[in-house]
Amino acid sequence: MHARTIDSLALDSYQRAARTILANHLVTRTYPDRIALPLLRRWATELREDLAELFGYRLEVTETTARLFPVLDQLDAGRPARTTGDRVFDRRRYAYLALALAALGRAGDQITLSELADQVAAYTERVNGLELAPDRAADRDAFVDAIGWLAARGALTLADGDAGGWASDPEAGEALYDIDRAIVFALFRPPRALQHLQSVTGLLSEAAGGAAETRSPALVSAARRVRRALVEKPVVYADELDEPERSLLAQEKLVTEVEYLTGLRAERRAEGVALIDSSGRLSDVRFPGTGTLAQVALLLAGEIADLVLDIDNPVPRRPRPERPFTDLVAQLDSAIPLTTVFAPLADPLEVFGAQPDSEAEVEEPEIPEFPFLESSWIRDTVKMLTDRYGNTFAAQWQADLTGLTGEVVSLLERLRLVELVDGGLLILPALARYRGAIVTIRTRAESELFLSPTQLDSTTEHRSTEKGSGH
Amino acid sequence: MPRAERRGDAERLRLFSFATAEKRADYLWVLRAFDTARAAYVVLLHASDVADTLDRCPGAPALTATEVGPLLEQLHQWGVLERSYDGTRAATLAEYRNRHFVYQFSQAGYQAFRAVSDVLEARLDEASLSRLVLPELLADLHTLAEANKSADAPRVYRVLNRLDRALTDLAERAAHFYLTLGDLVRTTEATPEAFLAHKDALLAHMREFSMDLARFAPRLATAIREVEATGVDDLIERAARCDERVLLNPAERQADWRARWQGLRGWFIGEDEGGLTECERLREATMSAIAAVLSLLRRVTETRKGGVSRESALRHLAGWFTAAPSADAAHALYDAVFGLGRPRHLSMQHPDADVIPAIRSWWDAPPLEIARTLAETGRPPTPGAPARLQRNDAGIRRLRQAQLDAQRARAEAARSLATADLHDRELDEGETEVLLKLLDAASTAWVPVSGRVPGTSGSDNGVTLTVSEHQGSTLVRTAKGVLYLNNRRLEVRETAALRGRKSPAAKPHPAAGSGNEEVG
Repeated sequence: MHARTIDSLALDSYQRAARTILANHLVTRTYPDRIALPLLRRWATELREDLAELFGYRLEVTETTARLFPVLDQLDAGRPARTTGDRVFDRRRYAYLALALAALGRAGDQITLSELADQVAAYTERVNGLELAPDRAADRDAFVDAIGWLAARGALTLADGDAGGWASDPEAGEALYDIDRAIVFALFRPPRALQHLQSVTGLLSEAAGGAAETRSPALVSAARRVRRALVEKPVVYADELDEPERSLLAQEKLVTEVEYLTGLRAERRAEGVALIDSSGRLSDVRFPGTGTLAQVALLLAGEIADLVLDIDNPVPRRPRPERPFTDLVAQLDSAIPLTTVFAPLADPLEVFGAQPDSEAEVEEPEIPEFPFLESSWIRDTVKMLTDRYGNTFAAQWQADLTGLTGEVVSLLERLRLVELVDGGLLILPALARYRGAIVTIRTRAESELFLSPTQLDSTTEHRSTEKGSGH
Repeated sequence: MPRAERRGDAERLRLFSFATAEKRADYLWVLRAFDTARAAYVVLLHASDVADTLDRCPGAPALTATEVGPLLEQLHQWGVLERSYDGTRAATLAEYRNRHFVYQFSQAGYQAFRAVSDVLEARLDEASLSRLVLPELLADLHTLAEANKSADAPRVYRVLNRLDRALTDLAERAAHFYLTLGDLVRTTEATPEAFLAHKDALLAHMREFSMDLARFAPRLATAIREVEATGVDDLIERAARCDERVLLNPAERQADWRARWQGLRGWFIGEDEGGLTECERLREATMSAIAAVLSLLRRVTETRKGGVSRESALRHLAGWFTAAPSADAAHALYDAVFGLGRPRHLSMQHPDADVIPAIRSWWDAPPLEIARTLAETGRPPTPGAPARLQRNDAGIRRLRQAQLDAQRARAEAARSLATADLHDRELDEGETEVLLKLLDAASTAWVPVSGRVPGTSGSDNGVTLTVSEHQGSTLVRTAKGVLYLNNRRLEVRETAALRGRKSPAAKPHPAAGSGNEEVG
């Protein structure tokens, strides 16, 4: 591993390069910023080898782009594409994005927005259930969102006009884009030819299906899986892993390797390991962070921890439910458009061969149980927090208690601090990092010693008067 | 003057009316007949001659002389044809009427016809750069220098004319070539077959031209300077002297030749030293054209890469996205296909991370220290004063809970105390406690001011105790015993402010004395 042999003065720069590519997967001359690509090019050779060795990731660096091709171990619905306004893509936007990429693949150096829309519209005629009608405002908005996604990554650069004008009135508005072909092609490079797939698992790493790994021994690929989990996930809990991986996670060496490459520190605890991103750059969300959702999530975490730790009122505990990720797989497999599958080369559908084996191996280890809190308690607590701190919340959340609760719980779930189960939440151990985050506002705190602030104020004042008159 | 020019332009543009008229095909054929006749040095044509000529042309419409007549007349109106009286003698009246006019091309009309037929006959896919013209130009320049030196005026004229034509040809071909190439490169539908068939020839052609241009340009520039050394003014004077355009006066001829020489010079030397010469521009254009052709080539091959085309893969993907049964599934597919998901990590490190053993549970390890501002307001802590959270919050909260409970109980007792007269009933424990506290509060203000205290009051928990003078003693029965009071009577009622809390009138001036404020 190169990171160990790099001079300590240069190590920081190397780790910065590693963080940049791990956080973005695509780096261009301007994305995410101008200094990223030169930095990556400097370390291209070492990074390529380290990333391949540690994670099995492939790094391609050219003059204009750097692209990391990650290996996915399981499907993850928690990292959707977002518009420039930070809204989550829907299915139509995804489809437009794919078709816009197809159209750009055969375009010249420049293209206007309406030309691109025409080409995408022509493609949609051959896709069932999809349409792009440039005279429908909703379609135009969705299309412009997809184009904005491409523009944010530098595949398109606005040369003249603006897309917003076209979206509001295609007769009057127009935009001209320069096309960066290198980025257009770097964006879409799936690990397998999509039309050969008969199951979405073909896109995942070897262990989850598809061709069996023959080159590297099982232990090496297990170690890569663990390192991938460390670098991609907020917390890696030991009880989620199978046997060889669990003992690998406990190894100091493996965790240190990831620490060395990323420059982040890992937090090792009995229940698992979390790589802590103190810079906030290697993460799509920052927690604890600013904003109402993060604030409420932090306060809620404090409340939860307080309740769980209260030895007088023990909280019920439950085992973690079996969470098969095959649900998403089944959904996506059923959605494969069979008309465009290229049958002669299609992979035979593989039934998971490894599955029965691994189940047999599990010989009833003590199933860890996690504190369980009911949804009603969560709701009440969020309400209590809103009553107390509501005036510091963003306006949109002050009134929308249900929405706030949902978003906050989903944030905690994405951070793997809680897990959503039927009727409530399971509390995962890493949440305890944030315990004690109960905050008091001093002025209020004093007033609470009396009945209520309003009553108190008037009482005090009145009393003073009466005493004065008593003289 | 400009108006006159405009009128002249309008006049000239009328020449092209035949190309857009309703019977444009017929007009064109009539003019072609004239052109055919002209090749045989027959200039003047009669309507019947036109009809005869058309009969001989393959593909021409069969027009009779009567039909041709109005066409000829119209063409004359537009100025394409000149009309004159037929000089030959007519034998019959009918013949005389019919043969009344003969027609021939007008000078401008012929140009208009040529322009139109050039456009019609042009082969748009035929484009090349002529590099063979370059050595010819060089040789001609040498000849020119010699001719000028030996004052051979006709030769100067001939060579200069040839140079001018060769250069014009070069420029035209180049313009045409890049136009065609631009069309080819810009198209979004470049088919590999069409492209691959020509790419080698195309690239070789451009490279050779560019190399020749680079090789000849300095030599041509030198040759031009040599010619100039022999005297440009003499050169132009000689060329103009031999110019056969008799209709131009000598001054006009000289100006024309000077302009041509300047054009030729500009091609290879340039007006000022800093600017690009035409020749350099052409070379640059060739280079960028080569780059454009290569990028076209890349585009064509990229679409071909890997069995299934990228384009059809993306169409397949769009279908897959559209058919995804849930938004979550679509998100997962996006993540798996594009592989652009960002990692996610918790932030904030423990300040003493090293001292916590790795085998300790998260529940037992010390928690993070979180900035108070962040948790309180959701805003980042200011760098100024990083206030820390108090870590025994839970303890404080429990204490406060107890206080609150006690407070609530006392408030309850106070309220029940105020509901009825004190002296008529027995007070329970809570009420007694409240009463004693009130008395205590009242007694701290029990200071004689003017020798005699008429009464005092103490208030707490929203009730006010008024101690007033009373004849004889009073007694209060409580759960703990009987309280005897001498010359004092007690009255407890709810504080007026509490009852009329909403009225702003109950906002008196603040008075001194926190002495009777009783805090539990």
